Amino acid sequence: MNAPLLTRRASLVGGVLLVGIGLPGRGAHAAETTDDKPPGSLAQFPLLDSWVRIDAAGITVFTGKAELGQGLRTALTQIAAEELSVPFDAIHLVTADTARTPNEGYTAGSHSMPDSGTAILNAASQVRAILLAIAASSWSLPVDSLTTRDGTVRAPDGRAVRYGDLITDTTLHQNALVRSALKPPADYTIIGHAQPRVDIPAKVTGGPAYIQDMRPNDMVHARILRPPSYGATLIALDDTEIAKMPGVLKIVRDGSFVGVIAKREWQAVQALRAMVAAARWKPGPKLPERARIYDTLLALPSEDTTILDRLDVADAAVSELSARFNRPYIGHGSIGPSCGLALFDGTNLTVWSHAQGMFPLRAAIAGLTGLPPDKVRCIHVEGSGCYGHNGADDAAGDAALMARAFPGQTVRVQWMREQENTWEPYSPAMVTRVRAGLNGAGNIVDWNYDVWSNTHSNRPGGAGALLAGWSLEKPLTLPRPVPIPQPEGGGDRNAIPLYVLPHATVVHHFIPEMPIRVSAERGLGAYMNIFSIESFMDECAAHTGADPVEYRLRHMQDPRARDVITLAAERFGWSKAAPGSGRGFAFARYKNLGAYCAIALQLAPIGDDGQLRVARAVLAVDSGQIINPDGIRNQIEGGFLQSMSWTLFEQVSWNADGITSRDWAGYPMLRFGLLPDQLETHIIDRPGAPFLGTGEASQGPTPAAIANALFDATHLRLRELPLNPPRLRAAGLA
Amino acid sequence: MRLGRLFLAVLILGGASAAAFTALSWHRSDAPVSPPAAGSIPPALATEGARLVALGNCADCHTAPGGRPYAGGVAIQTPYGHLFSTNITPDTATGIGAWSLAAFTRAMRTGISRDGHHLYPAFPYPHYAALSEHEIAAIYAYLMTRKPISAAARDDDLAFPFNIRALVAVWNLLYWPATVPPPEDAGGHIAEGIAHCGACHTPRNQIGAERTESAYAGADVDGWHAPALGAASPAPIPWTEAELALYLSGGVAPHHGVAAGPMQAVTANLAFADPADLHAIAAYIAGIGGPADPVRQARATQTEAILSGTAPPPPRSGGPGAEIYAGACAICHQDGWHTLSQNLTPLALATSLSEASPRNALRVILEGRHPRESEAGPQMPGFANNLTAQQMVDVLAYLRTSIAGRPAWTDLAETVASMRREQEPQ
Amino acid sequence: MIAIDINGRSRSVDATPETPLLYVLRDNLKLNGAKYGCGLGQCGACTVLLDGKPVFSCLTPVGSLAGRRVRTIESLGTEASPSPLQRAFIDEQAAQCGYCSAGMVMRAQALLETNPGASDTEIRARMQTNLCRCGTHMRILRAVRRAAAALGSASASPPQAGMRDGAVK
Repeated sequence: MNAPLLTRRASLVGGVLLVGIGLPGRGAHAAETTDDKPPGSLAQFPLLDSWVRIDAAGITVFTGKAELGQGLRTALTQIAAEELSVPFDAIHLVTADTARTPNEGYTAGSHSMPDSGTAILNAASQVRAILLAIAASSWSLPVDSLTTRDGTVRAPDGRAVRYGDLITDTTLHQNALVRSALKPPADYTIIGHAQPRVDIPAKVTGGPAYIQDMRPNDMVHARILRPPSYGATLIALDDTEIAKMPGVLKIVRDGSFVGVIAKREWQAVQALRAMVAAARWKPGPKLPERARIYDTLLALPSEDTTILDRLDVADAAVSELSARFNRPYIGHGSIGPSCGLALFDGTNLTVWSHAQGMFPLRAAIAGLTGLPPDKVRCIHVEGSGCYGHNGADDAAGDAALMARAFPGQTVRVQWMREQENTWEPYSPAMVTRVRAGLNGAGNIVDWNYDVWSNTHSNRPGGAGALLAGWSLEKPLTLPRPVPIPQPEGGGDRNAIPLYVLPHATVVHHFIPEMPIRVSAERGLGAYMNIFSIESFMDECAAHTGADPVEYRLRHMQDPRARDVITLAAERFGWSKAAPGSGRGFAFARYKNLGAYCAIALQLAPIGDDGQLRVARAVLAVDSGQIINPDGIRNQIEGGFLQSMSWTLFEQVSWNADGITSRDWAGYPMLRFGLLPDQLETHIIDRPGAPFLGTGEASQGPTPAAIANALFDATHLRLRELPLNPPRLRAAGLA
Repeated sequence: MRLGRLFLAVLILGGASAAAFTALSWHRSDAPVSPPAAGSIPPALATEGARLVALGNCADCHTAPGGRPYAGGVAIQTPYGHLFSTNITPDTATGIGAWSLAAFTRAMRTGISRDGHHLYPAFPYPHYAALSEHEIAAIYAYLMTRKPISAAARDDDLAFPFNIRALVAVWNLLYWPATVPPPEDAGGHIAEGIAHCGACHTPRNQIGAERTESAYAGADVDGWHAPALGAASPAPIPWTEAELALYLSGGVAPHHGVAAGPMQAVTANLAFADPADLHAIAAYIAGIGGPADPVRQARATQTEAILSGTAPPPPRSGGPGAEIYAGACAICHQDGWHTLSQNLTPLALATSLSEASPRNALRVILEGRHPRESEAGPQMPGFANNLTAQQMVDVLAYLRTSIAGRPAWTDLAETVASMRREQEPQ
Repeated sequence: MIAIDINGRSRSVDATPETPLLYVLRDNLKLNGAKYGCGLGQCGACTVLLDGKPVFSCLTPVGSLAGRRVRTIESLGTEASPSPLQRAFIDEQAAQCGYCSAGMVMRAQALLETNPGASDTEIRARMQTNLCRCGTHMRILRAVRRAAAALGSASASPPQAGMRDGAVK
């Protein structure tokens, strides 16, 4: 195939492709707003001083989002510094804290830049406009004649005044305007430029960087005894000897919830081990047979929603293809097990947590402890990468219960590795089924797609969503889950193809009952839906004898989608790579609303050990206006490698009595030995276009690109994940 | 060169006059052929071959660490120097692509390469002599359907006189073929034939032949000790057919421990063998030498009683060994600790702690046990960097006497010193 | 009380002999570098150097350290003055959440001290022990290679300024 050239004039500078398209330049970030509200999270929190405060101490910027290792601090600081015309270092950024920041819900779904980034961009811009107006009025000069630089407003005659001297405490306590006079992107000196992450130096020199590193002077160490399986209840625990162990300060019991507090951390670990050995449990219900899990899920009652029913003029189908895909439960696999700190002073409870949403966490902890929400403060402190809803919320809940029972001292709860692996809410197993009709030219004229899934979010669920609540004397229960509606979707995220398909029906079968604890993990249903859709696009292309890239372009009208597809193919050298050599392609626009990402990759030759290995991968991404190009690259590459790990290795395992993948020996994931030789990321910049978010964009196309490359190399189509050696062997590939 | 002189003496005893010897050691070269055409090999035959290849553990000796499967290049240590395994992929220039089935059959059965030269008996052809034509054809079919890989054989590095290949002809007169039960005895046929269990578990004489009178008495292999099998096994609890079959197919035996060292790769390959074949092997091996003697039986009963809490455990000593055990070993191995992915075998049952030599236990502590990157399975880090030689001695002494309840090893300090010298790990 | 040599200083710690070094470092000595990841010797987040060799501090009883020297990442450099390897991690922006970073740095440090010119294959093989969940592996490799190159040519050229420093401030 001759790869079509990019659809418009483009230039590649330092690996970043600049494309001029017909997007409005100035003010484009406001494009997503409705007419009567300012954009991003400013709509919910219009007060400017919710976002920016300037005083003698300097400039403080507030976000309700949190640093999860994705580079959020750096990117938001870049945005604020740019629009305020101050140096990067002049900004002090405060992240999610129920006492200080706006309630921006969860740091999830690649929403931080669209929501908080957009709010801060516009708020900062309006603050700068206010500063200019005040200075202009005091100097009796036209606003247009003034400039801002390094935190001062300057007049043409050389007079300058510092921002802090222009305003009082209340100046910024005013609602944002609907529209902002944003800087033209051409003037950016910080946004769009590589900015070293602010958090990395401490992380590589042993500085305090994580919640695990907090050590208030009054801190004591706690460990929680967890049941051996879901629903198990404590029958007996003789803790007399344990209470006498060195350093043990208190054993806290409420029903089947048991925790131990000790002076030293190792003493707490030893006390926990003694409790594990001493506890007698009534087992919970048996877990379903693992080998039949997909059929088990399909047999559960589902709530069905037709999320797409498109009926357009179309040719008759002359041939029909269908397929079914399965994916297993996958863990978040944080390298640092969850941790929570809490201090109860008799009235107020302060909780430090690395969970993704401090405000919903506050509500849950208030419910768990019976304290009024205004007596509970939740402060985000960075933890190990979470990639979604891992054990962080639960550990915070544990810490809150332990602190309430041990007032006056900060209690630190640290989960053990086996507790994290056993109790975290996994990304759910899923099944999809797809059927397509092709016309005489091989084009898809009819598309039918079904996706079956448990919920991809058990938050916010109040106290009933916290693990500790399930074990209390008066147990709390998880509220019945509800689907996340389109257009973002949960299990049906990305279930609607972006391709032009004249007849298309997509049905989401939402299964409320969950045999295994599940919740949100990076990409939610997008990983599976894109795997299914993009695998099947290849199946259709192969059926027609078409080149996979050409076939995609044939069905794609979105110009930005066409651009990333074309860019990935070009940089990979798709037209020169021999079919059959093990090359694969896939594309998606995350949520059909976020970043565009296309992947072309080459597998290494498949050996008799049945181990797949990616030799080279080329990724192209369009996240809208770039904030930190290196940040995007880091996220896209990381997303690819993590998704590759899911695809090649990962699956939660269990038997009737409980989860068995309790540590890394039972849950293998990517190590250095099976890395690609080469991984390239090419970014298309869209100056002035809305921020689309980046964190989850490469998660979905990765498994499809790998499965498609496997098909290219072997003519065998594997539709169940992971694509690990036993699966390849079973397929006769090794 | 004591061994070398002995080897020469054997040759002389073999009565080799120059002429007779030439006649004996000369074999015609089999003409190169084109590899079988694509599609000419019945898939069912290749699939059958795959099972035999798994049983034969062929991949292990013929795949270099990090190398392509079956492309050879593995250095095989012998008392006489290094041998390098050959490329058995169907590459015509460097592999067996130009080998006819007849040439392959001759090599498998008699150890004569296609070009007529003798293969060294590190390649266990004496065991393969009993393979049926059909079995060899299946193995051939499987190998010929692998991806050809160009990888030239490396030159062996053997001391004189072992570097004279022709002398193998005399060796063959003495030791070829191995005694292999007929196919009707499925377990014996496989274990003594394709699976060549004795190649590791039977001690060898001074010129590298298995001492059949001491079959399965245990032998040293690659710095490990392949323990005695059957009635002579040092395992605290005698093996049963069921547990041995489980072990062969997954490398884990709940009452014995985990496959480590060279056996780890064997069980990894056997995972792809036919379960019925593994049961047959297990029945044969578990039955070697008849039932365990009353002393062993009594010890097994006693060990089980201790583990179930009905008999007192051996007294545990204090000291540095106990501290290291508590802060390093017990974190995973504490009895009754079931929070890990694998329910670990109680160390009191670990075969390595009941063997006559501390070698295997030490080796595991030094190197650990590592599944393949993509594979779930028992995993243990090596402690070579953590523990000094004296600390190794301390912890092994503790494990041996206080955990396994066996009399102290007498050669512990020596073994630790020599093994640390052998393998100065990273 | 147990006396141990940490980062060149003799420290006296109140701990029982079997206490894993990790807990002594983090809890008694308030050092952040070594991280609790699994406590089972499977992930490498707790890696420190013992007599110059990398070990899992989570499985190293503190009572076994008499006469031996422990080094943690705190001994290499500081934010203000990072070591060449730390500098390379910063220059390559070789972290996302960074929870594995200190362990990665220490394992690579041990390698570069004995083999400053380590090849890519050697680096990959050595780093195999340590897990990263964010998928930052390629950058970590680049950082180690960069440090190896800098160390290899240390005598020939002055320490390299950060690649991106020019764009920062």
